Amino acid sequence: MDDPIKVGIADLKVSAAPNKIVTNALGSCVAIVLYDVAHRIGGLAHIMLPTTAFSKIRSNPAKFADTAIPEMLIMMKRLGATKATVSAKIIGGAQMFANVLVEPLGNIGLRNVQAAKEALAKESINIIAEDTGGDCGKSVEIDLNNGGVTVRSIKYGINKL
Amino acid sequence: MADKEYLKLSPKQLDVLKEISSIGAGNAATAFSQMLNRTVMMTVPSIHVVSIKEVPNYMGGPETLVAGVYTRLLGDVFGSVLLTFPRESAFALADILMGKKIGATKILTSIGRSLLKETGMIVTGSFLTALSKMVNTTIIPRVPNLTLDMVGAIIDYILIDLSQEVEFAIVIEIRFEEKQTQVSGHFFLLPNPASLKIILNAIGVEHD
Repeated sequence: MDDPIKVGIADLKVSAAPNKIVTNALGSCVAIVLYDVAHRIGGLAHIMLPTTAFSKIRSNPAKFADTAIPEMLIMMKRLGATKATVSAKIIGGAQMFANVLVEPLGNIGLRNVQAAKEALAKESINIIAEDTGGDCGKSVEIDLNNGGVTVRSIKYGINKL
Repeated sequence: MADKEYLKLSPKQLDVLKEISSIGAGNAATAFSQMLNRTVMMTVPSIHVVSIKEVPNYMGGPETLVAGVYTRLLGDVFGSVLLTFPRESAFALADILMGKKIGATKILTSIGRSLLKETGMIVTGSFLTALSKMVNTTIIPRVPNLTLDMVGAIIDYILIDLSQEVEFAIVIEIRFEEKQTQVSGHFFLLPNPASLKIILNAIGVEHD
């Protein structure tokens, strides 16, 4: 079995069974995992900001929730996925620091999660599981054989979604 | 100052940044040594101009477990300072500060946490005092935050903030170490584009 495909910050990848896709150490960032159960094709995006309105530099669709999801769907369709059989799982969006509410960015983790949900609703994709919020970092792996997602954190160990 | 200008920083400008960081680091090392009553050594700072997504790789890799003290700066110069200690160093530091035998701390108590935060505040504060004198500006550190987690998850809030304006970050890194107890840590300064400009202007190296 090959090494899992790595997704960095503001990055996204799509692939098919039997591969795995991972992303490490999400804090306030959010991982959006899409999986087409019928064709065993999936994708993972590690977004930093809710929408393109939050940044002066908008060239990278993987950086924003509102652009990462359509981009991932296009790439998955190219591999043979059909939108009707795609569902989503979202992970991350923590509040890493206690007094973050006085910061200019506020609770950006929560806003990232909300934006991901809105963008998924717009594409009529169901969210079948989530592990969001809280105050700890998370690493995420999707197994494209079955769409199973493993979330690892220091605080809670392993959580299967 | 945009990405292009970041990447165009001249060797002279980088030297000046390194020089003022060194003076700040010296100040911080003195304060840290006094606090621990031991000699703390600091390295010459290294400066990396890297894409935002590469930043965690300069901190030991995204999943490295650390105690991170994050301080946001206000005033004329703003940006973020992150002080990280490997887990064992954080525990040893708590032991030293509480006058316990090294190895006694197995889990951080609220006193241990607040002592680490105070260490962060003193080290950061003495660095910034030197910096603000040199560039003749006001820098006000906020109350620091302490989190024990993967360094990638700790830094991402800072990176999200920067990513609103730029794709690249300037990471000024200083390593410090106390030989006897092997307490070590990293000091990272991530100035935002506006404050980098202020620093370079104040030093008079904006135009080569």
